[in-house]
Amino acid sequence: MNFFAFDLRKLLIVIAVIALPILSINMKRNPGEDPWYSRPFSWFVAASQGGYSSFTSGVRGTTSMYLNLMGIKKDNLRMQRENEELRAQLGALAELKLENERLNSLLQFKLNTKMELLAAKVIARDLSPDHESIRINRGYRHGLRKLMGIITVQGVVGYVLATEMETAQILVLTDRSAAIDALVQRTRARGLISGKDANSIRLRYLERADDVGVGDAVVTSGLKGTFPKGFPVGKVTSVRKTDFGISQEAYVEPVVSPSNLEEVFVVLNSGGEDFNEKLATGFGAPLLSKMNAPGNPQGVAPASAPETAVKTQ
Amino acid sequence: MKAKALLIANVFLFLVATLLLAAGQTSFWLQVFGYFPPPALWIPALVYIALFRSTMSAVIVSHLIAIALATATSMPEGLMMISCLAVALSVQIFKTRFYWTATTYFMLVSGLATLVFHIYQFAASWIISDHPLTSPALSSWIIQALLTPLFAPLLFPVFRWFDQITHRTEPPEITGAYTV
Repeated sequence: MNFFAFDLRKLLIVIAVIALPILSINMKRNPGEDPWYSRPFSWFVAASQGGYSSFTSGVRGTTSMYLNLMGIKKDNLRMQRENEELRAQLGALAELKLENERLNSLLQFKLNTKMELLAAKVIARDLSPDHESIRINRGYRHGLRKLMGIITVQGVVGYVLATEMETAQILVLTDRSAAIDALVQRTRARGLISGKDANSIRLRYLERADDVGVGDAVVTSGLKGTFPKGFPVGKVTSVRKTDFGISQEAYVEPVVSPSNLEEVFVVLNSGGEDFNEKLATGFGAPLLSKMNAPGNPQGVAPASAPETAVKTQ
Repeated sequence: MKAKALLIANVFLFLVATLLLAAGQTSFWLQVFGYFPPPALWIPALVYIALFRSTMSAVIVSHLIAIALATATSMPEGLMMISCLAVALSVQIFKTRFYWTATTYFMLVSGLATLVFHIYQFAASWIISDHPLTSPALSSWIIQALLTPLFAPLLFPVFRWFDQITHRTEPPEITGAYTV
């Protein structure tokens, strides 16, 4: 046995291994400082943890964002639906408001005239685009007869062509076979209104010597009582006088555009109503001002009732 | 006896369909699309009759259609009858020159028939009417002629169904046996 025959190298390693923790504890006496050898590990751990943290927080964030987006999408769809419903309600309300104004003006008109009027709704138009007739939801059951006048608050529309029990066919004055007796308001020159095309009419058979000018108002003559006297028909846009012949012809822009009709009045009885007097007292002024107003083809009259109204029926 | 009843039923069905289509054109379209020119929905019925009936049948049914439809327009009845008759005969003549068995053919003929109906009506108004058509609504003519073929394929099966339930023999043009 060689007691001293040990391996010195191994002994030194064992001592070093045992001494290392003691050395480490000894070096940790100042807790404020990291030992130099642990710094790379510390940096690596911190970096790794930071990386993991960023990753997990990113994943969590993305997941959370996705879940939120799902919620937002649902909310968005719900809000879109609500928005559409509200828009539809708003549109319906606006339509109702316009209808209310229109019906109110019709009511005021009806209340302030001697005429016996019957309100009707336009339910159909002509089968052919080259003919101008409409159908209304009133027929002979409601007292309608052939040739009764049809008007709006604004002016003349046409007259009854044929009646059924519940409906009636109306020949609009823009139809080329329509014929309505009319006067030039300023000079009382008399002629016959008939259609030219969908948007214009003609005042025919005016005497050659009659004084007719552009801008003159054309009104009903009141002959036969189909229409009230002096009710607006249109405004002269041009006058055609040939070199020979005994008559002249005026082109007239109708007050009422047949392409925008919704509600009309049937003149059951004109009651001897004379709008020439009303025009003189201011009743018809809004009507005639509407004739000159651009962009108002619909028969919408002023909402307020004329103060100079005659007896209410 | 039964054959006559079925024939009358067939004509009756076509008349009712024509009136319903005309009502849809003049009233339903007005409520939905306002005064925008509607398709001439009744024209495909006249075209079908002209294409798949004998000349005599086509003439009779076209007159019946014209009389029925005259109630929906301020157009004089005579003018309507002449225009419908001219369309029906034109379709028959056209068929002897050009024919192929496809829906596109029915669409094409419906569109052309709509256009020629207006042209015949325009011409006839100058010949027989006291109030000739001086300002034709050309844009409405064209829009109608373009819109009508879009509805023709929907109506064709309905007309065929009318023929089936009234036991009318399928025309050889439909079964494919017909050759020009």
